[in-house]
Amino acid sequence: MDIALVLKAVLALSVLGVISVALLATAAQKFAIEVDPNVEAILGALPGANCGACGNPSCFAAAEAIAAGRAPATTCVAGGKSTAEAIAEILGESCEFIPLVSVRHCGGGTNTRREYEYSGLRSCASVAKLAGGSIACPSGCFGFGDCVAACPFDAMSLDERDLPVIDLTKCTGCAICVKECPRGGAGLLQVVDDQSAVAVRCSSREAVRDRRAVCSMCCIACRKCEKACPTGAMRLVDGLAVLDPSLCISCYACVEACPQDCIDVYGRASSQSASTLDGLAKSYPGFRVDDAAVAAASAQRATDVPVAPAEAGA
Amino acid sequence: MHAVTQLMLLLVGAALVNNILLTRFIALCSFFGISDNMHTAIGMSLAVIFVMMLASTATWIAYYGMLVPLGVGEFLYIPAFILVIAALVQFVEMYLRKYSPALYRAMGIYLPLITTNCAVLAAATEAVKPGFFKMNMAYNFTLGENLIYTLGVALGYGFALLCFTALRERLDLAPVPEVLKGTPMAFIAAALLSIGYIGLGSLFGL
Amino acid sequence: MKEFLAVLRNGLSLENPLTVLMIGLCSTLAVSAKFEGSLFMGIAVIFVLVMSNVLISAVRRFTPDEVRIPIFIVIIAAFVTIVDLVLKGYFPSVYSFLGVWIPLIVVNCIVLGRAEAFAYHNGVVLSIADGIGMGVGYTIIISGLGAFRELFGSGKLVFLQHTLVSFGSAYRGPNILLLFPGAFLLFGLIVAGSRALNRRLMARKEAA
Repeated sequence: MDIALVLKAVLALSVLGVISVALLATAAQKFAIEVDPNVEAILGALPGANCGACGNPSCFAAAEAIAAGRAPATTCVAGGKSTAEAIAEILGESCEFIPLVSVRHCGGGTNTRREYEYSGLRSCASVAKLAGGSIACPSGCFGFGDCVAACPFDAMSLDERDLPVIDLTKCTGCAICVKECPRGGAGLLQVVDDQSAVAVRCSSREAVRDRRAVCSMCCIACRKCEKACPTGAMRLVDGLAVLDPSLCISCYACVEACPQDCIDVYGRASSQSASTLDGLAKSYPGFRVDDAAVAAASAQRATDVPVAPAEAGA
Repeated sequence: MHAVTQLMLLLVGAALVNNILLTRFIALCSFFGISDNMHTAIGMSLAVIFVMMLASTATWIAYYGMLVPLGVGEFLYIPAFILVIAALVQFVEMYLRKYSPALYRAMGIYLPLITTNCAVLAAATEAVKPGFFKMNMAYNFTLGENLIYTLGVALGYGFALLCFTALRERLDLAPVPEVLKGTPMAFIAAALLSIGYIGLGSLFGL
Repeated sequence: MKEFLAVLRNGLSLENPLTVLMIGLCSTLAVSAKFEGSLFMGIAVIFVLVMSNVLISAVRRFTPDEVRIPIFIVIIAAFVTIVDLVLKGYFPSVYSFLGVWIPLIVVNCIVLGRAEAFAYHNGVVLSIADGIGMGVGYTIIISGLGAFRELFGSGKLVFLQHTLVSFGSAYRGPNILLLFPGAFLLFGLIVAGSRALNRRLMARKEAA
């Protein structure tokens, strides 16, 4: 038993240990950073999921940006209104949080005519690069679900027509799906005010004749919805029906009026209009209430604008 | 042999011929863990290059400066190296955080991950114990050779990692059978990539 | 006693470190080219796992939370050094085959992972069970892989200079099995197979 060797081993390891500890201690002192106390508080108010929806790589980075004034208190889309208000309170300022959601302006999916058969990578970005995409409509949805994969809140899924369905209870309007969609900029996916009650399922800017040649669900610019709308929220812009959510009173007259079933009931649905929905469903066999979470969404967001069933029937 | 040629052979050998990931299969956990996304893979590669070079220098100095003169290098190198690497990584992380926020944002989060990365420990160990080395040059490295060798290993790691990440990103979009989806497919892709690297096996007669 | 057996069985099948948890892959694929190499690796891992689990579990109340990882590593390194020196002294051929993988047992995800996840939070006896279970689960897979690769790749199974099985000298097997890509392929297929099996078992359990 060579005691000297054991002692030398202990000595060697101890010396290394002491050097390491000394190094780290001095580093902790000399490399200490001044942390803004607000940052800690804001970090506590943030959800801490590091989802990246706000555009910052982590909640800590977002907290730093907000504390430094580079980002507004409403930065965190995941946290919603309560987080924004909590952060605003920490900073001692007021904020106005406008909840947003995403909406899909396409009703074609697998029913749309294809220019060619595509058997490449199952990605919307890939197929969009091949001669402008396999779908004959220049603003149609490919259905490979790039948006579904990109959503950090798991709010999207594909339905049987290969069209993305947005769960409004989870959507925060972060617009990552719009960025991922190769046709997002062209209006296929759009972030709108959470008060939207209906969705127009077409975003094609082509001539009506061309639209009808490729898709049976398109908007044919017949103006019936515009005429039926009592408040002027539904207008035709460049041959396409467009909704102004601030004027909409969710009477669903446009939904009934559209001969193509191109307009769906979407978001805001008050408890009063639940009976309207039932009535519409009974009267129109093709009536489809899109986005299954409308019922849950309506329970969460009650509106105080009365719906007049008598007008809806007119 | 000319000194520079020798160093170049050392570099190429460490990076390609004996590629740490695909020829010697060290550090696979991080290989399969970090490779789903090009962004994280680039950050990880940068961090590995940085840490590996610093760590192997420090361990070389610790080994020849203290362990060998005391005669305890034979059996004490494992805990000693790990101690040195862990302390060094933490020190570097704090330094980067204060003096180079840009660099910290790029690779700071990977630094604690690399402390227990097999590749760093393997590169540090092999530089002082070339018996493990399958290359023809089995002798003790000088500090300069150590640096070149480690640089080669780190570059090889980064290269293989980025190749594999690119493959995996494509595989994510391909119609793979349900049973093979995810990890099994990644393994099979790694096998094919590794076969490719065998082709580099006799580069320059190494 | 029942808990002991449950933890033991856990490491063998339900939470097998290689096929289910997918940790400790580096060493598996590299050393499974030879049966004796993989068997010794498995035994080494069992030894290190059990001993380090015991020690870490014994001192868990005295280890501060912030420095627990370095403490784990030092404890594990001590036992790995023992393995290193024993192999070097008594089985030099195996030692030269395993090479750099012995010191890498220290940072093997299985050992460190189980120390962190199990030994740090449970008693000594259960930690022994976990160490044995995980270690044996690991050894079964890795030596099975090693035996398959060596037998079908080179035609014979050798253990410490004794030929156990031989297909005859005229046998020319797929060389790819002896090389690393073969290990990857085999392992990928094993994982796919176990996944298919698990799925069938789950379906049967749900139907029942």
